[in-house]
Amino acid sequence: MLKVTNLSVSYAGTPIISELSFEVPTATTLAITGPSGVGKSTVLQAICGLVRISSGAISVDDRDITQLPTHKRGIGMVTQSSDLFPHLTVSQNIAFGLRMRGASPRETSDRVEEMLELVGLPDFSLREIQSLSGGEARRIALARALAPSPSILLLDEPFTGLDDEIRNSLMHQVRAILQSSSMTSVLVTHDHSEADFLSSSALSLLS
Amino acid sequence: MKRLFVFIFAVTSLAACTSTSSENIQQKPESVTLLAYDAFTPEPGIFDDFTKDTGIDVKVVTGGDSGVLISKAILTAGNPEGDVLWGVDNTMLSRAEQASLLMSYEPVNTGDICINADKEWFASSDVPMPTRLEDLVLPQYRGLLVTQDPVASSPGLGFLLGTIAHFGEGKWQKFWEALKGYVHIAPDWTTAYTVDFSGSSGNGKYPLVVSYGSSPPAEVLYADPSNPLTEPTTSVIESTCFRQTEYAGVLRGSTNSVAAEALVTYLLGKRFQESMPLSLFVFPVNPDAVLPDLFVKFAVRAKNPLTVSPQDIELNREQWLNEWRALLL
Amino acid sequence: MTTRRLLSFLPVGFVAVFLVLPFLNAIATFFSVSTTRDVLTNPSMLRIIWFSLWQAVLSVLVTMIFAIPATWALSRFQFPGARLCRGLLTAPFVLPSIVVAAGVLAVSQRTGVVSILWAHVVFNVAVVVRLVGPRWEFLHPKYESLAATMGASPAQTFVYIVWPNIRSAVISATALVFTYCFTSFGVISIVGGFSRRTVETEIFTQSVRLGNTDVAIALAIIQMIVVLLVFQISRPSLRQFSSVDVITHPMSLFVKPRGRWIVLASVGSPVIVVSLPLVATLIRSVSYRGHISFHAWTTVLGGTLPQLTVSTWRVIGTSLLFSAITAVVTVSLALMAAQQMGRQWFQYPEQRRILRFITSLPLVVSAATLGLGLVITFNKDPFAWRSHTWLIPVIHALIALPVAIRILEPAMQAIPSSLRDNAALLGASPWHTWLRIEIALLRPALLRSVGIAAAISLGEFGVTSFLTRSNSTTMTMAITQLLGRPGALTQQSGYVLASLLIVLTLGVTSRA
Repeated sequence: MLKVTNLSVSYAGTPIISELSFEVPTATTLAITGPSGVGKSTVLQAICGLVRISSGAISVDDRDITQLPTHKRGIGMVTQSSDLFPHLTVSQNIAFGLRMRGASPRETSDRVEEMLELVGLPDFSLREIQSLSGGEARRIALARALAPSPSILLLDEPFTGLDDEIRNSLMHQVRAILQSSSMTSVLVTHDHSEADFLSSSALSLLS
Repeated sequence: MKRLFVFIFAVTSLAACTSTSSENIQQKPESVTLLAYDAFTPEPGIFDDFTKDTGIDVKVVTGGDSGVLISKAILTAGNPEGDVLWGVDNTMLSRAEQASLLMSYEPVNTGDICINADKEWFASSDVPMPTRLEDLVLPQYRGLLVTQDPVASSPGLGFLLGTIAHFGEGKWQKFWEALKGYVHIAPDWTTAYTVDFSGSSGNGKYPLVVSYGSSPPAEVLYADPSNPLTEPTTSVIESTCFRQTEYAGVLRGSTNSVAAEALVTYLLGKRFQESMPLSLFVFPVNPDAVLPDLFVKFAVRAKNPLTVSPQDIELNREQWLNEWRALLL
Repeated sequence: MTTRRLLSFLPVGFVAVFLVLPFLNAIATFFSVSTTRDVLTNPSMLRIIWFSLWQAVLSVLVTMIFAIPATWALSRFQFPGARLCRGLLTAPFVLPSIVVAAGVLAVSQRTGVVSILWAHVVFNVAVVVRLVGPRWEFLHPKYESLAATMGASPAQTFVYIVWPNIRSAVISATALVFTYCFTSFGVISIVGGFSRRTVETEIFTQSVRLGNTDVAIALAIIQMIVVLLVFQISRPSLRQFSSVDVITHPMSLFVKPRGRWIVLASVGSPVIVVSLPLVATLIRSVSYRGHISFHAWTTVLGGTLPQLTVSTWRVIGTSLLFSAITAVVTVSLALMAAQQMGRQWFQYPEQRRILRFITSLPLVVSAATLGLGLVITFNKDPFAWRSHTWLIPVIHALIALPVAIRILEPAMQAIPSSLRDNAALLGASPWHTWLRIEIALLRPALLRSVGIAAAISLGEFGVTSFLTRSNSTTMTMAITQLLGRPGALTQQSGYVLASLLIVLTLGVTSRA
């Protein structure tokens, strides 16, 4: 379960988020919606520890993580531009989180295979990042985020920039993955239909 | 390719390291530092006798050419980088004295700055080799001489001083005025001798160059072994020679002045003086020193060289240089 | 946060101790208001300043004429020999002036402005290729193709697509080339002939040859002001990068038959201009007044340097040792500096500017002034470093630092922070993120800066000749000594060593 209490974030003196509080029960998805520029992505970045917060607390499963550095928080994120590491292959990308915690090669390759199956791209392990299409890249990014078994998954506009057919199938896939893995997740989107389809509760941010 | 490079690098730097460390044995009880210009290349092991006799280790440090050396020494007067300074010459002595650079000094070698001529060129042309400075303004010698900028180069300065000594005040300016446009001024010895001079590797177009009386024997000694020379391809025009004297002295502020004095004495001794001609291409001042054959045969030491006293140089050097520049620029 | 602050202090401290301090000390010791006034009103001094400026501007123009088409050709196209061409064009930058100058003179057979321009082109094409090349390579051709489909002619594509992306690199390169040409010493003094004087050569003449240190300092300050102005004008604008453009190898296109000639000409002409002096050096190592012999090669490679008391291997080893130390010091400091400058520190934009300014100072200060400053500054215990051998690679690192930073900083900026964020999310500690993501993506730029720093050290002469050394003769020193003495074998050995230096430099810089 993710709990955010009185979160405030400012940037260069201007407050972006003021005293925001919400809870995401375990194995559910919260959608954060609102117009662009209102600070939805900033909320995600605050949860990860990628921006400095002026005040507030964040806890995961009753453990306060507000002071923890990003790499110790165990939170996975899929970003808008996928951001796969260009100098690594698909399987190396997916394996990255596992390498960081020192998993054995056997463990790693098993998990990579598992993730590739999960996102429906079982033969992609040796592919170069540059050769992936937009939808494929997004799915690999998802696999990469899930591979180290994070406690929370954050999705920042994951379906933007894809054409309708891929978007639809991806949305179904993601929902299936979230449900089968009982993942606690937060989805940021400006599209209400996406929010309705994937989440059980929604938070609307107004400026 | 990269691995090969790394390997070569490792090997040579290892060689450099080991040889450096073997030469920096600082375990002798006393050591004295000799500060000289970069071109100071004494015979290897020449200081071993000194060390054996006195137990003092000689450390040679170099930094720049003679001009740079003197400037740095003046800037650090009183807190010098070494104990003994080698390389102040008579044109710079005044600067050293003004700055009270040296506690004591002695002349330690002499050399002559003279016009060197390309024998081959003159042999195959109808123009005979000039014999005196006056010849140079004659029409048939126009465009044949290259000299160096006296501000930047010590042979260049020596040649200028030679013309001043020869023609005298008031008249040397006329000499240079007549030369203007017909003499090539190179920025330094290297460009003049190795690019502009026809008698050396540059195969240039000037058969007359200002250089040293000891250049011909160097040409013979260091000729290409596949094309050895029994006699030099260049000759020296003796009447144009200007006497350059170099001094060695103990630097003021040296903490080692006793050892420094001992070293200067050694530099004036027979052993060191006899090694100088073939390692430094200068003439010894010690009358007991025996000259090597090559020098006796081919080096020129003018019997009546042109000279200007260090005091005159001190008084007038700046003005002469300014006048010369105004004339020729 | 505090470790980061500390890291950014190291490069600043380095420059402060070894450059700013000696320079300020020199100014404090020698500056005189009356002399400065005299210098500024003296017509021949003003002529010198004017000449320095216009020969630099002309040199920049001529360099660009050769370098920009060559950079385009090398960035866009893959063809056999491209790697060699790039190596040939980028290596001479770090060759000692005496080698290039002698080479240029051997071909041009006369001193003067043309020879100056030629020598400057030989040196500076490399700067443009090295700074602009990577930007051009990383500009994905898809944008140009798209523009074409929308009706843009090649000229319009260049103006509206290519130029905005390479502009900052070109401006940065222009400022650097101008500075090098404006402050160039060896080239002007050897190849310009005795009547061509620039501010830099005059600083040396006044301080060393004539003992007028006050005049020299006045000129040094004027020179510094000009260079600082140039840097101010050319301050690079903020660059935008999209993460898709971070490719680790350039796109290559094969040339259509008609376009082939343009590509060949673009690369061929600078290659010829640059290689002629190098070839001349090689020729002079085996020929002496028409007589061909390889004796100098066998002598030198056998270990002997005629008339010198050091062996070939010792000299090469010393140079390589210094260059290795220089490379390590330079790249470490440059990495630290680039790291700080690359951080999106919204709160401290001035810090980035100050850091860039301070680390560019080595370009601004005249070599002669620095040499003198070092001699008078580090002369008292416990800082009596002026005669210490390790000062030499330290000063080399100082000189190489601005160049290395100019290579690393853009490369670092090209790494989107989202990649770093993602690594952190996946559990990589800051150290791991740095090592596995940033360093991995920086590898080509790192190799380039290592190569350039090593090569700068190999070829450095100006300040090194000021520093007092014992038993540490470098290749450039030895070459100068050999070329400065009569005797066929001695001369040719000088050219042999110069040829070896060229090969070594090519080897060290061709890695990227």
